[in-house]
Amino acid sequence: MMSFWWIAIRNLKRNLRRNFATGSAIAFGFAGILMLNGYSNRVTNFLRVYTVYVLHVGHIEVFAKDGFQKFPYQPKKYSITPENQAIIERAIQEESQVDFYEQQLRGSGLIGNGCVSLPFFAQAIDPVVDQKIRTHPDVKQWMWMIEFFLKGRGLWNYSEEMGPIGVSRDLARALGKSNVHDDVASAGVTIVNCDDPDAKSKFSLDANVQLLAGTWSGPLGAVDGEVTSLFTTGFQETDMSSILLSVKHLQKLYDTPNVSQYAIWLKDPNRLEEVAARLEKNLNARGGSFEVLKWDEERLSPYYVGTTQFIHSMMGFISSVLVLVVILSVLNSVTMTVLERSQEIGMYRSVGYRKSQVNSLYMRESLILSILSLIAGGILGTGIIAAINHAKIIYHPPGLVQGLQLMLILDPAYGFVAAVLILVLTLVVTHLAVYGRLRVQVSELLGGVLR
Amino acid sequence: MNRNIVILALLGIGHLSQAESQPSAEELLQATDRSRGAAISLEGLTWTADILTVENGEKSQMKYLIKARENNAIAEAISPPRQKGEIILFNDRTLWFFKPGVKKPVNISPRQKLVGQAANGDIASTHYARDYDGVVVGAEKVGETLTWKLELKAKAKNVTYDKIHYWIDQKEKLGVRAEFVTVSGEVFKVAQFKYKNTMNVRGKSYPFVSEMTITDAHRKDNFTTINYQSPHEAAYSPSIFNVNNLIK
Repeated sequence: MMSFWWIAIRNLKRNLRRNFATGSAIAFGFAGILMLNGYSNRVTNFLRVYTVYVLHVGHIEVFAKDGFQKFPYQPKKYSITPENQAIIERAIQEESQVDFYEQQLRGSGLIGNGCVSLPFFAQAIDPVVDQKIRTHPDVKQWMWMIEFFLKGRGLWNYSEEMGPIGVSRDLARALGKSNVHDDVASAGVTIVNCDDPDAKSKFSLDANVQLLAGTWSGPLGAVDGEVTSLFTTGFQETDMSSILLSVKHLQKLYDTPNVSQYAIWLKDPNRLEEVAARLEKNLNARGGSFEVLKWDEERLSPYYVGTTQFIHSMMGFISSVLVLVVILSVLNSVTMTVLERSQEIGMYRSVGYRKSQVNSLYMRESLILSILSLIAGGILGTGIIAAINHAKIIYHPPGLVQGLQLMLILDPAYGFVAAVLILVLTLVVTHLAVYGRLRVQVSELLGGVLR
Repeated sequence: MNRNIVILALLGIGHLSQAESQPSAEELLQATDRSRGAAISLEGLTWTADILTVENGEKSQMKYLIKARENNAIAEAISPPRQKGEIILFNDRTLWFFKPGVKKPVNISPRQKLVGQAANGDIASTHYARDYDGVVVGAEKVGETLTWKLELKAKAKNVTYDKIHYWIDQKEKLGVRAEFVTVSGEVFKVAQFKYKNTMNVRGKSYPFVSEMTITDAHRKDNFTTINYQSPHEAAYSPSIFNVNNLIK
């Protein structure tokens, strides 16, 4: 049996140029698939972590019944009351898979600097949970290169009484708030005469802002705030209007004890379906009327779902083309080889080799060539990936203001599966090509009339 | 043929005589503004506005003390206790909201809703002659009252409404009905006015608005009623209308 391997190696050496071409097709195809996977793996995980953690969507969100859709229009009716908050928190505490959770409140209003007011859209969160999120292992693994704050520090560094607020980049610019609390803390509040010609230059002398909105009971309400950080949402549309503050701060503005939703993060995100179903069942059993949404539902994370669907379909198509090119190259090469070596096959058969033995010989040749090519492709692919990552290329996906470093992160399991798939397909193609030739009469093979 | 020419000539003369008796839109708006708090005294005017709102089945009530002088007005909440001391300052077309305990006043839009159907721009004095270009489009009856119908178009972006259909009593020169219209031409609020108050300024009496009811054009059960009480002449220093003086 050992001699079959030696014969296979010797046969491969006999037609080096063609085998090199076939091997190159396999190697380049495999390297391409690895690079595609590196891109897809990085982008989808980046978006997943960005959605679940940085955007505070969590793995599961709980709303009042129909609250997801109707809260923005009728916040009082479709928010979660203190009584229902108690029900949700009891159900969460009984669920062993919950890692941590927070109350959230969304809303809009006007933010002013004493002279100019602009519309804002607020996301109110728990500052302690925000701190936990920024240092979460998943965030560190997939978003280590992202600076969360353009200036200043997170809400958790300041007392609730101070009213810390994170303001999005363009909104802060429009308000003239280029300095954050840490820059001008000692200066106190500066009252600017709005009629002064140089009033604009004085807005940055303090970090104080006012939030104004209609309270949920009707009249207008206003609270002070202190800009403690500037951030970017990553999207031009929302960079002009987003603010981040604590739930208590926004509740004070709207004069309500209610919240819009709960976000829940799980210890094991792979058990999402099971935990969401159990939580919904427990909540309903307690007599409440709630809506439980999973983070990967399109209505909750439309950007994530839409982008990943596009990336996966594009990657699937390109990978299929690459695999097809590899297989056609192998098929072409094996067919040519078998045709050229028809007399050799006839000779093996005439000296007593069985069809299966001849087939096995060609399969060995194909196996050795494929394995060597896949190893070469693996080295080539990982080398190119390392070079691209080292080059620190910045690209600008649609909507992302800061741009993103083109970084490919390979999923080893995917690479292994792709290699096995190419190997199996190569062997199947070889078998089909050789099997067709083995069905021909030995005399015809020896005569060389089929070449 | 000759008879037709005579009829057409008579119709033309009739039309001309009607145009001569029809007052200009500017004249009508100035008259109606006077009965809704616009400057009729150089020193100042004052009244209270009691605002009752019914929205989605829920009632809420607020009371403001209004002080007006020329193009400025200040509305100070006097009840409920929770809102007491809150101030809305009207400097010409610029509005400011100030709440005791907050470090700076906030510049707000006249279009922003204060409570229910009333916009901030509805609660103090009305300056339609200053804020809108008007055209008299015809004569109509509102109930039993014969009125001029005016189409008003905002002169600037920072006024309360983009367009208003305004019906003015031909005899009394008082606004009796208004429809507030979106940019796309859809009526979204309807207002009706009553004038049971009298304002005495330097010995001369003027009818003054006593009630304004603003109803959601799509949901009739959502409405706001502003009751105007105790209107009288007063003397106010211009400094009380300075936004910088709100911060104490």
